[in-house]
Amino acid sequence: MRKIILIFISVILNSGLLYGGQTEIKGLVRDGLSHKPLQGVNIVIKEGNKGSATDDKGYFTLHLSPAAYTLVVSHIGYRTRYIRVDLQGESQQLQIDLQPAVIERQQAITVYGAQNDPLDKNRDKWLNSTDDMMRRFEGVTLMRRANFALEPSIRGLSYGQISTTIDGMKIFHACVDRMDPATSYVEVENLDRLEVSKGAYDLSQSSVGGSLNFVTRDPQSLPGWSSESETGFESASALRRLRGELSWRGRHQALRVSMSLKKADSYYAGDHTLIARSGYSKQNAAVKYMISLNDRSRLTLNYIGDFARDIGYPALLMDATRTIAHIGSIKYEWNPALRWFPKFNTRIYYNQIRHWMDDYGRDVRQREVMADMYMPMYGVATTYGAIVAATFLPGRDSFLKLTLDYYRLNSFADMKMLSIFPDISPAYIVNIADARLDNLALIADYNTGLGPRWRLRGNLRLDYARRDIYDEFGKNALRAFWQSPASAVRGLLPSGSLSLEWRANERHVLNWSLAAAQRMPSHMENYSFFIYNLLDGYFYTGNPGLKPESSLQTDLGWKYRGRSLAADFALFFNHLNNYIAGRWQSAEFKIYENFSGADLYGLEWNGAYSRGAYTLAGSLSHIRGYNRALGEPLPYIPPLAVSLSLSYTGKQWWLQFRWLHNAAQKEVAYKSTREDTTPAFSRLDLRGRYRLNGQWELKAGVENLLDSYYHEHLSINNLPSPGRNIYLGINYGWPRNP
Amino acid sequence: MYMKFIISLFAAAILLAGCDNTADSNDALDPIADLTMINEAYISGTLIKVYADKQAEVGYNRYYVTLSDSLSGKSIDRARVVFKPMMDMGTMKHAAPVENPQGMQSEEGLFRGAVTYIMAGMWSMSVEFDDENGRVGSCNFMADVAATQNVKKVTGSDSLSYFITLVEPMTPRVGMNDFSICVNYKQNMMSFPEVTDVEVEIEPTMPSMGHGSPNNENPQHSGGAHYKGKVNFTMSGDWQVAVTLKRNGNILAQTAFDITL
Repeated sequence: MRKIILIFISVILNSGLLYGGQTEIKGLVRDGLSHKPLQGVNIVIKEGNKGSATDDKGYFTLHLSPAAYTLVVSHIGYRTRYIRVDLQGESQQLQIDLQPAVIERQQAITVYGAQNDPLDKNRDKWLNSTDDMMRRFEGVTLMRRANFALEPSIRGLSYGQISTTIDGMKIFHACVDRMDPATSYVEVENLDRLEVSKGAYDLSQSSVGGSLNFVTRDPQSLPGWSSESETGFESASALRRLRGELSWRGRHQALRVSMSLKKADSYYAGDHTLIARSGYSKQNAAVKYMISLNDRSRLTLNYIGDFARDIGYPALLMDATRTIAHIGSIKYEWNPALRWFPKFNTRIYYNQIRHWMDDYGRDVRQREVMADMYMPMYGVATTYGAIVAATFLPGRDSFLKLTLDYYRLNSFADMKMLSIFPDISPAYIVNIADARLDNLALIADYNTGLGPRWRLRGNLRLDYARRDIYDEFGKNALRAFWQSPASAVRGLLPSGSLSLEWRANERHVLNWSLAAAQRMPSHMENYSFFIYNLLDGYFYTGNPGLKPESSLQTDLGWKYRGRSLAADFALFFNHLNNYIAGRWQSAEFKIYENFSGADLYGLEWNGAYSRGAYTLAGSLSHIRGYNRALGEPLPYIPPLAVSLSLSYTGKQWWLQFRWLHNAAQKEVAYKSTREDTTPAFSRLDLRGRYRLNGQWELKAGVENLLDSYYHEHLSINNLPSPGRNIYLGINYGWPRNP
Repeated sequence: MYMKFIISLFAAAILLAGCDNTADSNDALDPIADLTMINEAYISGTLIKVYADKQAEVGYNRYYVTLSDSLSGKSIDRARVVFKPMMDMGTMKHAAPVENPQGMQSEEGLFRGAVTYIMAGMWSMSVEFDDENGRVGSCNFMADVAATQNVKKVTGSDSLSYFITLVEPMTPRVGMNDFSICVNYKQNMMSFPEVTDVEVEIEPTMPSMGHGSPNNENPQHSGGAHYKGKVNFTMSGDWQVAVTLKRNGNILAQTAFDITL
């Protein structure tokens, strides 16, 4: 909301009379948020066909005969401004701030790093990984399977119930055990911001629980070159990391290249407990190239390659030996800069994730399940899609965005079972029998002001889904588990949401949201075969007869922005219908079924108090989940979490002391799965940054200062969290921004 | 103009459909297309031919018999056909469970029956017939029966010997398979009557993995010595299907078939 206010209300224009001269207008055009000069901005005189454009320092000059004019200042990605100037024979100098026109996500969304908000998660300066970023959002919890690529959960919902995207692009896991969440492909140096939407109020993605969108970085906005590199070490896993980026912007083109190398050994949990076989190595590279085709349109090519090897999964039966991800997209933006004509943003994309894992490094004789067997597995997920968005700006404080979003997922996974005894025949199964999913969605997002205090936002979404499996071998195996032999699935799913915001005064904003949303089952829930669940010891089978999971949810939010105190508070309730979970089929097998109802409710609080260089910040989140059909708590519900931190921000120094506490989770699922209770834990973190000079910066910190041995409730198989972790980093930037 | 076009479309459709039908009926016309002739004999003015669908092996072997007038070549559709397998082991002889063609009427010119060879070796087979016109005869041949594990001889809790024969699946595949067995008992060396009154339970497992599969259907009596059900093989590899025969809820006999796919 505050973003809208920024954009629609306060644009500061300083126009001053400087020095003599007949008919010259000079001006500087800046980005309204970052205050950086903008190059290539079009300035046109409405009353004639004269015009100009800003140079690489953001300046423009026009020579006009004395009269009154309207300057039309337009630039791609920004709201066009109309400025009246009265030239009475004296030259004028203007400073024009343009506000970004891309108002794609508001209200239910916390936008990372986009604005100068006291509760902006970007204000802390200690990011070592993308996981660190996700952890900052209260209500977002991470599921741990290894010391690598944690999977997010939003307000107790995860996987198919929430959506994880990179720049709005769908990316699916190739590993049937979900060792490769999409969160692992955007490394921190390539992450511009993380858009977290809690609840299904922003329907730009299909979900019943919310979404995470990783927005990758653009090349620098100023012309010229810049680079940044960092190397670091973390003691708990002897992690060595190196990353670097290079950015360039010319007159019409811009390029950004970044890469990251990481290598970690097995990590130590608290009390100096070695978690064997938990190391990994990972390489990531990202390239983004932009070219302005003309003043009104721009093309962006983006590629991310992610390559990981020898990833230990101590919580699971096997380790990933190799994963390869290629993620590419082409974006075309067209802004006709006409008030009545929409701005277009079109993207086509392709990504392929391949994943190999095996248990050759494990002692399979000692295993309870599938003893004396090696089980190499392979999985591939290929997704391609197209997104066409048209944004209409019918009034000064309203916009309508229509989006057509199509994707196709092809997924295949299989497993061999090779006995250590030569007289036993090898066995083979297909875990995902060449599933092909088509999804077409039409989304309308309307946002408008209702008088000075009220705002309304409505989202409508219609999904058409079509899917089937095409591998005959796997299909036959699956059919033996199903009531009906049909494997094809079709669905037409309408969803809608409404948010109402009331700005009581400059400090208090109240927000109430309501949504009725639906989601298709995941391809795993429809078609997976023989997936072993370590938690309850059952083999899970997909079911194409599943109904969509639907949700009716409401959210009440209160924001306070005082001079030195800021706080956000939210209460939410989410009722799920046709909740999808495994139902007992026989002694060893479970099949996904719909359960009549589940409820989730909870609250979140987040606040900060600043005084001088010191900031005291805290957060709290609490959630309860209940499976009404089974009369038991829902699984994977994070316990009450509290954090408190004290930070000091000086000219050269930044220091933070943080205390984190999770209460015990005793509300566990024992019928739908076999969860166990989790004891409470606390941990202390100390972090610091020191700026040596214009180029060099040092980062250091100690996480889990007291070396507590603990595991989080969402840790699979109670895999403990890392123990005391001392990290050090050296960062070199050129030229470093102030 | 349009009408003509539509009519020609219809005509084309009918022609195409007609072609398909002809192709189908050609295939269905020849019931012995996939069979191999084992032996033939001219006797009592009759030509008798015996066919099989595979090499003889321990287990359930289907035989198909055609009878025709040796002069006119006209098919004889009403006759009684009896299979008499015999194993001569020198010191003793014994027969095997048989399924003689039912009734007097052939099906599509074929008299269908089966023999369950209960051991490997050289069996002598006699296929005897007598038709409505008093023509009587037989066709004799030797069957070289290959060894398999498809017949299990089990001593029941009633001290009788039971022969449990795996009939299906012979070409098992991953997924749901028809599962059928024949159950006979030994009355004497020459008589192996069918068992029609037992309950059959099956349980497939992969002994190397320690797991089984869901959704199996216990075989139900389906006439003669036959019991038909379903078995679910979730993956390729070595399977074992345990078979339990029960009578009035009490275990009569137990065995297991090893099936690899």
